[in-house]
Amino acid sequence: MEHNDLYQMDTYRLEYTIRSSSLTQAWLLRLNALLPTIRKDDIFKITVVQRSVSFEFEGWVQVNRCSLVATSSDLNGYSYLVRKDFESHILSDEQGFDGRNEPVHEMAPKLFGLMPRGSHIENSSPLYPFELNEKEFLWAKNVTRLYEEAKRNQWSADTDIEWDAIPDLAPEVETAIAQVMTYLAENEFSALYIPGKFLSKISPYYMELVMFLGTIIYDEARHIEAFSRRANAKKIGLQYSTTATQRSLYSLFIEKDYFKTSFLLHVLGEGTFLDLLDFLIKYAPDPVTKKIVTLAKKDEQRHVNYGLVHVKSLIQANPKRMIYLKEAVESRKAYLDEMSQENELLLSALAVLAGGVDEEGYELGFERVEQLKKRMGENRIRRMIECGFDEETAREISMSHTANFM
Amino acid sequence: MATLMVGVVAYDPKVVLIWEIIRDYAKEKKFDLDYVLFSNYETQVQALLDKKVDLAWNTNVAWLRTKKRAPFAEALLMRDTDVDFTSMFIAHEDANIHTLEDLKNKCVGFGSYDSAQAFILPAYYLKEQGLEPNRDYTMNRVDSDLGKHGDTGRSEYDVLEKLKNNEYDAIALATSTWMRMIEMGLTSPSLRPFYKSKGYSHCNFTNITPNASYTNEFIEFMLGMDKERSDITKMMEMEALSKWVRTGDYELHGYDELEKAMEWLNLF
Repeated sequence: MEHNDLYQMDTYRLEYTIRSSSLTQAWLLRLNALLPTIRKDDIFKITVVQRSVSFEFEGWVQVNRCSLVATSSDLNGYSYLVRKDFESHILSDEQGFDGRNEPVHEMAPKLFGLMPRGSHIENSSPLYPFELNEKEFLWAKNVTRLYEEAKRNQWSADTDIEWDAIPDLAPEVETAIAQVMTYLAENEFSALYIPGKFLSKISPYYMELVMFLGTIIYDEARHIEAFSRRANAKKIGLQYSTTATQRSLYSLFIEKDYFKTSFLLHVLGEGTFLDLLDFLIKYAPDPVTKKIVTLAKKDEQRHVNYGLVHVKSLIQANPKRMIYLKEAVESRKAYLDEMSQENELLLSALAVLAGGVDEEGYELGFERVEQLKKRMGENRIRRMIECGFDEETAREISMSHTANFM
Repeated sequence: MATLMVGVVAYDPKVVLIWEIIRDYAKEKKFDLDYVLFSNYETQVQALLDKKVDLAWNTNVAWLRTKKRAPFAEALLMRDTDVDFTSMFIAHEDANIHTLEDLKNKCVGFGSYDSAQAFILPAYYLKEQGLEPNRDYTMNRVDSDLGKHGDTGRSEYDVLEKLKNNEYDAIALATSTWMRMIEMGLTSPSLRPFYKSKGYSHCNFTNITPNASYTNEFIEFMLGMDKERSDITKMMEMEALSKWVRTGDYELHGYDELEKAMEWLNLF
């Protein structure tokens, strides 16, 4: 090896002295692990004390596609200046997640695996087939804030609900609650599975959204638990699932487009649910049920808030997208129209809760459910207008929305 | 131009993965290239001489054999890691072996007789020091995976075992194999390399047709590979290179010593 005057054997930032009498497995690991952390053309200095190790080290340099730019030897051993001859990583130009930064790029980098944004990615990493990689179709300005909010507002069905405080209610009323809880749990399964279905398609580059969807999934798990436990609390147990509800949830489940789903689920579905939960907060006959529903509503509000801001930004960027969403609602309606859509077991149970079981009370309850449906429609329109829809389109869409509420 | 056919020896299943990536990439770049797998270098060299393939991805031994029979043969391209390839001799630290001369009257283990790195060159280094096999030292060879010219490294692992069992006093192997052995924890703390060879040249893409129209196209295609792409970096990782390099004078001289060694051992 020729001595190169350009390189002086003075202090280098990365410098190791190998004193062992052979290149051990540990030293090999240390040297191998050094390479990814330096750039192409960076120079580091290695001194070895033993001659046998100098053979091995020179071999390591050759095998690892580095070159020796200078060598020297004296009584203390053999010193090498080594240059790394290849680039192994693509250095990230972005800060990692800290609750403030948002992703810079409109398109997630193609080479981006399961890793936090800001990591330096090795350029031989596999290409993941993340289909959802455009910021515009995923991002909402409030998503980081909503994630933080979700963290702060976690509750537990074990410790935040006083299960022992549920009073003994008339059997018809308790049965009505169990029916409503069955229905709510079914719908929450839908709200858990659907974000789950898309989650694995979203590039981790948009990690705040991925993490927020994670909170949605856990929120829904908690709701399913709490609603099921409430149905089972008085031995009545879970009641009837209906084809009407399942068909409605199925039509949402099979939707392949994330933007359409976000609108159908978060804006229309969970939006309508907020009114239903309000109704239950008002008419639930016992404080425990009221508490469960109140806590669930807080969570649902976050999900709706994501949908509102997400859909709004997409419509702002291109108002023609309203037509696209309208078509989504209408094609879903065409499927649902094949059969009766209303969950009559649910509506009847709501009437019992809102009015009572005797003839007069049930009539009153029925009236209140009718008013609820009307309010749901008005609020759907209001939310769509908030998203940037014109009133006429919003009204048409609202009319076509599933009678199952979600 | 008809499809450019490249001969490749299947010394490992990953060879298929490597060449599928190259072929897909060529297709994308509208470069008409395909590959043919051979089970050994002897058949591949014959196929090249018979012009059943246009180019062959040859070991140094296969290259020299081709050149012997087709004087116009040219080495086009190599991996950067094929330049200055080296071999080592290893012994137990307490064996009192520090130089090649110390191997006099010892029992030396080599790899397969068709492996430049594990047998042909190391045996020649001893001859250059005046040590004739089975006169000045006992020559032992483990001929495993013959036909693969040492690509599998199998014979080197076999001789390492025998050195560890004290069946041999010293062994010869490729430095790159020794690195893999350390990595895999197969070496023992009492083993020491006591000699590392000068650099020599290893594999190359061999062409035997003078003035063929495809050679420059092939070289440009290979040199132009986009190293930002993960399929290309994956292929390069598997094939152990960071870049392709042209075979120039320096690289060609890297075969000189091996040629002499093969003459001496009657390996042509």
